[in-house]
Amino acid sequence: MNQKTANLASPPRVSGGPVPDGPGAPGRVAPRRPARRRARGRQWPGAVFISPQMLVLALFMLVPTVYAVYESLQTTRLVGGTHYSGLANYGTVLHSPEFWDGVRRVLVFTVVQVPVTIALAFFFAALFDAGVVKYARFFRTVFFMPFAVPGVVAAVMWSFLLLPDFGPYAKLMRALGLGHVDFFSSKLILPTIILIVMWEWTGYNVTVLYTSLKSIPQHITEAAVMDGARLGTIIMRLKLPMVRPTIVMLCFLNTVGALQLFTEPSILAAFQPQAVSFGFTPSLYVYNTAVGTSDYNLGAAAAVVLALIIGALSLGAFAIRKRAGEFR
Amino acid sequence: MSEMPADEADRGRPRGRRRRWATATGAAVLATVVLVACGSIGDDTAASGGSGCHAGATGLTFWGWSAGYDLVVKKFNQTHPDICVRLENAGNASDEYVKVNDALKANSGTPDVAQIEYFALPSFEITKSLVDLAPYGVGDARADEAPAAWSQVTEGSAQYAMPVDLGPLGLYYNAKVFTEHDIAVPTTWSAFAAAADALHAADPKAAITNFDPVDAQPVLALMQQYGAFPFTYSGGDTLGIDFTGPAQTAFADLWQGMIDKKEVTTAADFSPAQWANLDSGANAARISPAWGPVGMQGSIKKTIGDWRAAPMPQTRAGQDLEGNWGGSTLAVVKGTGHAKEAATFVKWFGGSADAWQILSGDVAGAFPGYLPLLNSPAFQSRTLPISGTSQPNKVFAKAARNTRPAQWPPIMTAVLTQWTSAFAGVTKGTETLAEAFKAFQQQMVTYAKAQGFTVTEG
Repeated sequence: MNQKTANLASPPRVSGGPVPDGPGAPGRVAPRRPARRRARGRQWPGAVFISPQMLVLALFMLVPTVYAVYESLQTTRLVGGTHYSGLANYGTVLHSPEFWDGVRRVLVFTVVQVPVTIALAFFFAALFDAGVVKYARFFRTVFFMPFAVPGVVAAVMWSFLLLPDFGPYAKLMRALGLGHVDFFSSKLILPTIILIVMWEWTGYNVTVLYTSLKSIPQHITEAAVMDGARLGTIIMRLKLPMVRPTIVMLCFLNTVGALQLFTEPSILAAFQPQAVSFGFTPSLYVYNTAVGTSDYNLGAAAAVVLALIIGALSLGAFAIRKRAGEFR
Repeated sequence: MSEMPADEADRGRPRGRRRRWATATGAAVLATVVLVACGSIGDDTAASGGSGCHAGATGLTFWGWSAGYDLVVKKFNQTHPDICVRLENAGNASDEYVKVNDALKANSGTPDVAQIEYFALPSFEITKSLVDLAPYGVGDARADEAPAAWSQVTEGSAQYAMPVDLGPLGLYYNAKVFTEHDIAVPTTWSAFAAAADALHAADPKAAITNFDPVDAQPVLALMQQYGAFPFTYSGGDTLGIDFTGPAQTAFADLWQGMIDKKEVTTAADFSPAQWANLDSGANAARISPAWGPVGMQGSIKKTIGDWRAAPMPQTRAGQDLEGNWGGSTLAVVKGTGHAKEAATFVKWFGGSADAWQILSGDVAGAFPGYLPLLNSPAFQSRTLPISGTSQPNKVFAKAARNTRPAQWPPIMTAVLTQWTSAFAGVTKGTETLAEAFKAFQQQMVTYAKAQGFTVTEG
């Protein structure tokens, strides 16, 4: 699933409202049994309202999941056809260095990209909110713009911009006396992708945090000012704690998205095939296994493993947030 | 994605139930309609359907991607009133094969006819995905096809596709640069290596050609031409894989030597860097398939008119080994209800003067495997601005006639997918071509065995 569409499909509500959950989080619990028969009819309109979404969820989430599990328990060979093979495919995935290599890479990516993006986003959102920037409205729009560019287009654009010999950034590096910089070399490919993803997502996070900051009542800030607090103190000691739920939620959303990293490296691979390996990220491993080598069974097993890993992380995060008293 | 439950959802609902019922139902119906509508909009197949069709004709679906195919289909529909072919672009090469495989797996949505490159045919044959065309009389076309093309579409008495075009290799060199440094056009590979030395000595910034290790197809074509093709396969479940034999090692050492000495660049094929090198004299020659010059003409500026075609250098003087990079066939896909009509179409498409008049034209620019055109003086004497007054087709046509068929393995999908990362180190300079061959040999043997093949090595 593409990070962006996932978030657009259900825009996050700010300040501790209902939150879209990642795969594996518990769905809607069954409605409580009505006390009286007459009340039964009263639940219908609600059910009717959510039925399209439930239908889509069943069609595009539950059915494929069941099918993927079924597929993952079989093995198809070019010589001899398809047979039931139990957990053999899972063994192959769990013993595949390429798969774990991708998992490790994506964890490193997440640990770096998510905190840095959100810290940057909070910095700019706080600046805009404090009203110390001229033409703040214009800059807010500029910041948000990269998010309006589809990930695929952004990746294509950066592939050209960062070309090792002819790209403007390579020329800039030479002009700065840094010599020949290849952004797609094995050392720099991950930082490059981190930068691209940050470029795409910082603006989105700025917008969410800015909205959240705006919802802090004016009188609280005024009281702080009356007590002689400086701007830095107000931002760090007063506003930051007040938007904490939003930041936690953004961390969660960005993390789920980051773990599914696929679009950027897969587009870069079209331009720089040597830079992006077969299992560069777990999602790419799934895609290249199923689509590239037509091994649908192994791909399905890898997809299930990946879903379980992300699901476990999501549930863990969910439990932590619940304990922190976020869903009251 | 579902929303978190809100426990208070049922509370404090106002009265006036019937009306809200209507609203709710209406909203749900509307939502469903919107969903269905959205679903039906995203139809992304570019169908140039049934142009020039007659009423009551049998409909055929044809998946293909090459330029100019639409014009050929139009011509067919005009001249065959009882068949109506609809061309759809399902993506290029591997993208299309993936879709064909997916459709075959789903048992629905397969095309009647699909464009499939030579190297991919065995992969479809082993899964019994193609219709044998022999019973439909397509074999009559044999006399008009180059032997290399014909033997790659047949297996025993069965015929699984109709050949269309070919991509024989030639040495496409910049005559100005060669003359300037007084370098003779090499006829053997050892002479080629010596020419590379001489050129680099004369101009330290110049490399004789480009060799892209991560691009599987040209490397395999070069190996074929060197007499070091790594696969042996003639149907069934026995497969020979040999990347580490004497011929393959000699091939690897030849190119690694030139790469080490900076006499050969390793830019990505068709990348801006490669075109720039060819246009600046940094690359004095290009190992080019027959269809290469036409595309190259649009990608270079300064050296238009300086390029000449020469036969490929040989391993031993006097040999005549050729390599082939690219070319397509049309196959009839299993599950079609109109095999007879599909056979008629593919036979006409690859083996008729009408079709080739369009295929060899400016739009399609395909290089014929069709002998009446390949051998015609008119075709051989064609000139291109990039080659001045010379006639490159003479060289390429001779190569096409002498090409021996490559024995493509039925595991090409895996070969192509895993090739890129296996050979990335050669581009980076962190490993040699021989080392990459050795590792790739292991990878492919493991894969083939896992797929149930009996593998012979060496």
